[in-house]
Amino acid sequence: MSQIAYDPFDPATRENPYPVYARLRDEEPVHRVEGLGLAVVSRYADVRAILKDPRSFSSRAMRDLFSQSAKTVMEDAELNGETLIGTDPPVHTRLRKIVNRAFTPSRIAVLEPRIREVTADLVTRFERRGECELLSDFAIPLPVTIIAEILGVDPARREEFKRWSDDLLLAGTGRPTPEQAERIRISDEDLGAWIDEVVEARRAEPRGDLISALVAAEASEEVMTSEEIGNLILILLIAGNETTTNLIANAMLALLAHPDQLAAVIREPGLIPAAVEEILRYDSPVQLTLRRAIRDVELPGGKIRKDETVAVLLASANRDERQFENGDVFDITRNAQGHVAFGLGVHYCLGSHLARLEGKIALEAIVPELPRLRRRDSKVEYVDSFLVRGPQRIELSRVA
Amino acid sequence: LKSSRNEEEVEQMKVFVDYDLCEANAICQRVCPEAFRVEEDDTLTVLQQEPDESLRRKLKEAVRLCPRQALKLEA
Repeated sequence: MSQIAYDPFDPATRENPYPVYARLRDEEPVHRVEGLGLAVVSRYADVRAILKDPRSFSSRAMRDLFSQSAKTVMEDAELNGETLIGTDPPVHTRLRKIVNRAFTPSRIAVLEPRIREVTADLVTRFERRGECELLSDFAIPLPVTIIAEILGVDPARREEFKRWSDDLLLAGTGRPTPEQAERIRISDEDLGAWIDEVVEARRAEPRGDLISALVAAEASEEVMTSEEIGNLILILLIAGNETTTNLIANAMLALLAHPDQLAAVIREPGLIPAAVEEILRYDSPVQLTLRRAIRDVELPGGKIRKDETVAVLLASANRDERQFENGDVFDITRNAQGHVAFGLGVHYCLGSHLARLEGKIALEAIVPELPRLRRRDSKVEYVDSFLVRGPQRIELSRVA
Repeated sequence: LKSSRNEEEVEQMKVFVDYDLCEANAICQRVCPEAFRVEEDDTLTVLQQEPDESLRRKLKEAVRLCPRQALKLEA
């Protein structure tokens, strides 16, 4: 019987999951959570082995999260159509090729001036006030605005996008209260209606944006169904929101908690790209991913049985001493290469180039301000999700 | 019995790219610019299909770090 109590919903674990990850790695690299029917894999080598092997470990387990989301809305609801993160090759290969064109390094590099412009605009606004809530004033609007522009939808509706995306994430990966479930139902309806509306509009009158490209794919031999387009827009809105928001916010928390590291990046802004990699490693915005075992697999750390759902702890792999010396130490001068914060293999984060660029530009803008700012809240409340990790708020005010 | 000459041939490294997986993340180019070049249109060119032995360590690192696991090194 297992001695380690790993419960991703436990408030103490949400606040700081890293001590329990360390115990899992050392004592039970393949751990079973009876109540949740999960095999939890925590070591770097095992995590890599799983991610590299989509033939043995299916991503249908991720699709179930969306079904779970749908069930919050309506008990007998089923998710229609395929989703990018919830499929395996060859369906995944087809969808990924269509959407990847908008996220290649060269396509993302073109966005740099616009990302800088949006960033500067947000910083100016809160600088005037002398205080900010870093999430709603900066870390949320920046990625939402950019992904909205990539998709080709009106960024002015970003507060709705954020609410929809928060609600869907809560439905799929959190524990909504009955009141929250009611709000989720409304969000789901509004989101569905909005997606239908925008897809219809691009069909009637295509533009140069991603939704138009998806609609064109739907009409051409690279088939994409309306449901797949809807699911994709939804994933990009969530992935484009939550993860980069958390990357920026986790970066701020880590730097504020490590004044020596903060001083180092201020002295040497050239360290910022390395700092972004270290944040991704040290406090990964996506804590885990799910897979379902298609067959029995013997991993270095233990055996996975056919049909088991596997929680693949990316954030634990990134702290594994077997791979990263002093893994629990935040050190922007280390070589964090090889971290699996973006995953690995066929499902490697589609938006990694965008996330890195937004992370870099955000840090370049905020880091010089940090020495003049103090946190007003001492305790950090984390987002209610076992999947993503990030604070709900960071209140900052200027030091007199 | 193999002649020593044959063994040398077997040991020649070969680089393989799965172009269904490659998305031009350019990590390989960063790790081993001698063997990989990412073009402006986001396609990968392998500059040395049968690279020199001196590049073995770099090539192994490129294979390990490829985000999409699209590279393979034989021999």
